[in-house]
Amino acid sequence: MKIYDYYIVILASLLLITTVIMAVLGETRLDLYFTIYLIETLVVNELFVYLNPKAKRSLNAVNYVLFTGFLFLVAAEVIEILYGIKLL
Amino acid sequence: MNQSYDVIIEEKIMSEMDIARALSRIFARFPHPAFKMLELDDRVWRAWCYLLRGEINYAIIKGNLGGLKMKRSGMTSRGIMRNQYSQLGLGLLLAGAALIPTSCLLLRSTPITALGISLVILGATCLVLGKTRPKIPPEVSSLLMETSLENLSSLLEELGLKSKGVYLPSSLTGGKPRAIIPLHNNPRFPEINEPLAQRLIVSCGRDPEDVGIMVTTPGSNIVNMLETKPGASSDEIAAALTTILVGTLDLATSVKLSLGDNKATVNVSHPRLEENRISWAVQSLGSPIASIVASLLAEALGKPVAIESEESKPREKLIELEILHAQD
Repeated sequence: MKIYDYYIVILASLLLITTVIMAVLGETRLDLYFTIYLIETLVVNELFVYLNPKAKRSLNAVNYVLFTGFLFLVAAEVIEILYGIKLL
Repeated sequence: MNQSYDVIIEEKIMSEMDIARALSRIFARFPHPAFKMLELDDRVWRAWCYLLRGEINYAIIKGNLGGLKMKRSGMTSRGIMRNQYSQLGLGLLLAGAALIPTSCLLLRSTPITALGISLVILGATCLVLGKTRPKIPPEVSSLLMETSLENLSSLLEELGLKSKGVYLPSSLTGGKPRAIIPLHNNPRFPEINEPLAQRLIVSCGRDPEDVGIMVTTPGSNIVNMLETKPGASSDEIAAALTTILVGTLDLATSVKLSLGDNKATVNVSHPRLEENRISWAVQSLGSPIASIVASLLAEALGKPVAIESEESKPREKLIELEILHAQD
């Protein structure tokens, strides 16, 4: 399926380029990496509007899992600020 | 022992007749693959001989087909592993899952840990896409389509029908979008005000000569593949065509639509389906891609559509369509 190939190649390129740029900039915060990956995945998902409905639903499920991970990171930051407990 | 006669008939004979009728429908629908199976598969040939000699009955054949179904679902789960996207996804997922703890605990490198996370994201995406690939292999789909087009061509050739088909929306066919092939070439297709009868030979106008055969085309079931029926605007129809031809069926790389009052031009880039231009079905109803475009356009506009011309170039296909009764 050509459209699937384009999706994977674009997503892989974006994730790799992001990792390289942030590594060159010396970024050490893992939550920032994850947040940018999540945003990129969501954007690529939205740009590929012509995927068949079943594929879109399945990819949305992956996005929900990633978003749950993001909420976990946010909660960990809030707990660290409020109570001083470092979870990550 | 004390069962009544009709119960015995129901159990012993009617059940056999039901199975036999179902098998005969399959044979009639797909004669070419059915005869190929008899020719190439020894098990099928032997079962057929045992059946003719009375050594087995249809119930046993049905039971064996049920076993074949179980085998097929077993093969499907192995088939998932043979799916390239699933294999890639699993590999990336495992690589990422191994890289994350290694880089976090041993190497203490944030960029490599992030790389592991990106591998996990990519692996999950590939796995999910692998599961949404069509289950029927493309070769089987092609075989089924060629068989149905050959059957339709034989019917049209036998009837001597050379007129161009007109694609009707579901509101005029009383079911799903279909095409009607008039028995006589009429420069002005009659206006249809109410749904036609769901038969093979239908009357499509007031004149007794306005008769045609109504057929199901590759585009007839296409609307079911969309989440919502497209509206009559150019953007919505173009989006629906792209979703079907590019996203769902993978028959082209892009689709452009130019919609006028009573004409539409569709440009399909890099079409992947080869067609037999000499076939009677293709001459009457257009190529499978043109058929899908015409069906979708008719359904979206709610008006009959005819394929005026098709031009195939190396990397694109230009389809000109006429919207009938556009002013009505």
